[in-house]
Amino acid sequence: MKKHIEKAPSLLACVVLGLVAVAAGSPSWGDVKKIPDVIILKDIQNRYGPVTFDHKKHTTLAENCGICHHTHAKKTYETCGDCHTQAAKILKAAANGMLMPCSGCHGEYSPETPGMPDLKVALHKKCFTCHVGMGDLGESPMGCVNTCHTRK
Amino acid sequence: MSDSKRPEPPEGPMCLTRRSFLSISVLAGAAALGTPAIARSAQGQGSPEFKGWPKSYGMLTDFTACVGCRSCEKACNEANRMPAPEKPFDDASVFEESRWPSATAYTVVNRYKNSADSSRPLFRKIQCNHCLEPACATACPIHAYTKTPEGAVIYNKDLCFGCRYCVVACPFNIPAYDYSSPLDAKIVKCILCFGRIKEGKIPACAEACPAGALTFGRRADLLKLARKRIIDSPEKYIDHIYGEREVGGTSWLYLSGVPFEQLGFPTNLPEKPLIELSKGYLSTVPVIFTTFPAIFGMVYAVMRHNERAAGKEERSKQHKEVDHE
Repeated sequence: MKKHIEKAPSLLACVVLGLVAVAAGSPSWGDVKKIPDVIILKDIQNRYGPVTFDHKKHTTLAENCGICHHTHAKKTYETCGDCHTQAAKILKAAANGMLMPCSGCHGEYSPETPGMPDLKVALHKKCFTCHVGMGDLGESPMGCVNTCHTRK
Repeated sequence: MSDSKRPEPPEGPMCLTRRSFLSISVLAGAAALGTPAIARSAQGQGSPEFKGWPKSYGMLTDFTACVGCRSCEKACNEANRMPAPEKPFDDASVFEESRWPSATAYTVVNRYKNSADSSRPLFRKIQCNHCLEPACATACPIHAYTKTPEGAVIYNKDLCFGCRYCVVACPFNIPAYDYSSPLDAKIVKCILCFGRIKEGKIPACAEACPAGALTFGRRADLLKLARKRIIDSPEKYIDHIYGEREVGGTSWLYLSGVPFEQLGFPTNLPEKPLIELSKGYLSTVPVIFTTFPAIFGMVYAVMRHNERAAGKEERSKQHKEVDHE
């Protein structure tokens, strides 16, 4: 399970950098300096209202950042390019301490790469690691709206 | 809706139940009727060693990831433009009874008790497994079913005349009956969103699943992925990919953290396609029909020839006797 966590996507980086990328109109990871306390996730707006993710709260709840964020402590991939398919400049920025956006790898799902979940699945899997079993999530479909989502 | 609560297939060791007897009989009957079974046992390949279409698609269901949100049911309902169900899709009360796919729901999710962790229930999504050698297609006397190279087992509603051979033949109890028209009842079942696949999309249930419990891809890739998950987390999974070998293999594959019989899966199925059960003796039917007339015809011809020869001899003898006189 731990191994899986370590390979999991970077929720924070994804959202933060994604928002910056959208704002800037181009992927400019170098501009990201500050981590916001609260992140608004709007990935499945067609079904649910936006989800407010309290990042600050989670930094105190989680044992360490690696619980949610990718780390390279256990390198199980053959080459860097298995994950880092972006331009060398961006990879260099990531290697220098900047986090890659989740969407860098977890974009639209392709059946040709079934091992790479799309962004929605990557984020949900991360949340479910802890939240299944809290309240009625994992017992009832109502768990979705009782835990995170709001009905539209 | 009466078939929405059909009992799940019997469990336990392989024995000749009424159902399995009927299944074999139906396959045998279909094969004898113009021998479509033999001709199509390998989906047109004519080979008994058919291992599925190369590069065909499949689905991997990972029950350890499913949280029972029923998003797949909702997506299926919308993609197939079916009427809204009596109870909404976020109503957990449907889990209180065991449901089964029906004419108004091609897939359903059932809740099971978790023997390993009582605090967390288990969920099982049920739909057509899209067998590599589908017994439904073999049993259908009118060729309404097709196993497509993409992996989906589809059917032509307009050809179906309602014999229900496929209902009996399916080892997973899947084809349901649409009774909306008493005179024109039709078989209905999941077709792996074949139309969406042809459009380059993925099946609606897989697209909707937020938990990563449904993964659509090439069957060969999914088998590798499933094995990798078992190897990476042996404590999480039982060492069995359901559908890899059952009844010759299915396009839909499953991973579970508990033995599959606890989720109501039939675990007494043979590894060979069901047609193998009847193919042995049925393959002799065309041989008998072609060789026996030839053999008996030759015997008849020889006997006739001998009779004629004997008659000629008799006549020539008589002629000789007459000449002497």
